[in-house]
Amino acid sequence: MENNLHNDGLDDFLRKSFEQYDDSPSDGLWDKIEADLTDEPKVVPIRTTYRWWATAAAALFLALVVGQHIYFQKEKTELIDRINAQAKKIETLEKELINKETTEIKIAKNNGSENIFNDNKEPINSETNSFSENSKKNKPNNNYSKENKSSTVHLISEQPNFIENKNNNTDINKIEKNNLIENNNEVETIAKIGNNDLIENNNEVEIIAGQQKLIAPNSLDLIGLKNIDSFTPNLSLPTTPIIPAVNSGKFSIGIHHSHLSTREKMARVIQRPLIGPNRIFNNTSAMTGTTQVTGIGATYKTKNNWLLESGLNYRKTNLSTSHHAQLRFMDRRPDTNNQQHDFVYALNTSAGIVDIEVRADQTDPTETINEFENITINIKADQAIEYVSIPLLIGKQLGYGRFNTTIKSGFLFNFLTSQSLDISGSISNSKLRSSRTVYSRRNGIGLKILQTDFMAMVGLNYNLNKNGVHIFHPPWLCQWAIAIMTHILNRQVFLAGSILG
Amino acid sequence: MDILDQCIRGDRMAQKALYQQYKNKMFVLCLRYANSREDAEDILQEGFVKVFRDLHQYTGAGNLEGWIRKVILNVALQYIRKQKQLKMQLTSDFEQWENVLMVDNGEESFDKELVKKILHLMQQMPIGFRTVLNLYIMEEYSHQQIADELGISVGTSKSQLNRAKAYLRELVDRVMSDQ
Repeated sequence: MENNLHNDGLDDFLRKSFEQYDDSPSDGLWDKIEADLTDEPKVVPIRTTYRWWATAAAALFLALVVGQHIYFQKEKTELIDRINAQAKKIETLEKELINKETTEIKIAKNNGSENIFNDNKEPINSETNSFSENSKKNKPNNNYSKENKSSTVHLISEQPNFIENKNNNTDINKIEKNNLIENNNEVETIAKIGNNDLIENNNEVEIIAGQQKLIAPNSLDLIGLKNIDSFTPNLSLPTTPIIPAVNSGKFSIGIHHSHLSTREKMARVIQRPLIGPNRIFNNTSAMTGTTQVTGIGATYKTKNNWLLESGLNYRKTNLSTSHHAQLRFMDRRPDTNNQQHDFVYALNTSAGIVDIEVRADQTDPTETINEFENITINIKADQAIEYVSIPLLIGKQLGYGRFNTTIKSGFLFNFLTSQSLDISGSISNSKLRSSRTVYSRRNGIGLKILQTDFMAMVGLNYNLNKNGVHIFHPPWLCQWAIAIMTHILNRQVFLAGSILG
Repeated sequence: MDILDQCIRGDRMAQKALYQQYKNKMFVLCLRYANSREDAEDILQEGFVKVFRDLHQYTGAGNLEGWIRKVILNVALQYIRKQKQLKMQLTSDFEQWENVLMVDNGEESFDKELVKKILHLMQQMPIGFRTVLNLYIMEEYSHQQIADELGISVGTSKSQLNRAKAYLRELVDRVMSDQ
């Protein structure tokens, strides 16, 4: 062994020595191991418990804030989807309308008929009509051959004047599927829109417009659809309610009052100056509202500081929404009365969707409303909604000191007791004056008689004296819950601003 | 039913049997790393608790003794890390070692007594020396593995091993010459 140590055999020496070495721990060690293996519940210090609850309270608060954010995002998404759906619907209607106004062009030969196919139902003077002039050059004697057959070509009148700058031959070449028959260099184009009163013109190419005046697209206007440019929900912090309560140990009873104000703005732009029904291209909505809650609450507290709470609340919400829709006169189709104009607006209210028809008369009946006239429609809706609410909450009081915290959550059963709706509308344009506003409920879901809300809150308590007889109870975070509830309430009354054709 | 299954199921008798089977070998391992016999028992206790709680993770790959040894070695290394004395510095406690050797120079049988004294000497060594020495010689770790395990450089591991060996060799010489 000594040689091993001195001949660098220390490693082997130690290894072999320890492998052969045997030693025993004390006899009582197994008992200690066995005790450790027995999972005895560890005593959790109070401080740890407090931290757990503090974490829970913080998580609840975070959930409220995040939930509110998600809620508004969802609301915005729903709003966008709704507007998209409506825009698509309008687009479909528009296409249908256009298809109805298909131009039927008929090429035929005629002999000496009188032309009455212009807008004014007057014969077109061939001397002033370029097509007629061209035709005349081709056929000086203005005679069509009756033996020639005729054919019909349908064109969508996206560009009603497309023929105007064409000569006869070009017309024929431009027309798809042309089964045109020419005779002696005479070509006549007859446009038919909406009616069958076709009259052929001798040796002349004519464009026949329908009875309805169509407004051509204007390249200056943007084609496209922008939905929501901005949507700004804004919750103002309410007045902090103070809830004095009488506490007799297990039972406490108190009154409370809170006041909340909200304000939201929404703007969207629709720019589709195509022919068709009324079309808003700029709409701004704003809502201001207040919610006041007054009530009485009773709480039962268990030995472990668990709380069961109920009560009776009166809640009144006043909402005022205003909508400013800017449109151009060309975006709508004038009705039969050229001096009276109707604009229809759809508004979601607590009573469902309401159609608002704003009617305006021309200030000067002899004055022509320019097609590009800017018109602003202002609509104001005031709603008052009253509820009686019964909360059923479960909570936990955290801490025993003069300052302590309470967290609660549960359901609020709201019974709709009354609602009122007052709508007014006007048109801002120097050439128009508002004559009247008509509104009627169309469809949609209004507020239900019973509405159940989930709520969660955190309250801070301060005992005025050591016995805790009086409790100073400002549940400031409660307002977040009220705010969320208010927005749930408002969702159905604020998603507004749809224009119907 | 296999004793391992019984141990996993929490059968105390089976666990005790397993403990009895390996306690001595593992205790020697603990003695090599600990500062004292009491500390070694603490390591062994914590190590076996961990063995029984994690026994379900033993897949059967490799022998059971090796797995248990690895678990207890990890506990021992954790114990060393908790000491916060893992500083690879030379200490001038040579005189202290010498005193220990003189006191322990008993009259027991040669081999076992010598190993016991060496164990005792190792327990008195600076913890860094002892740990590197153990890991390199007994656990057959490479210097790179030691460096990774202890968070030191490979060079430090090598130098500490050489110094630990030199110290140990000199002290053993003294013991031998005294005998």
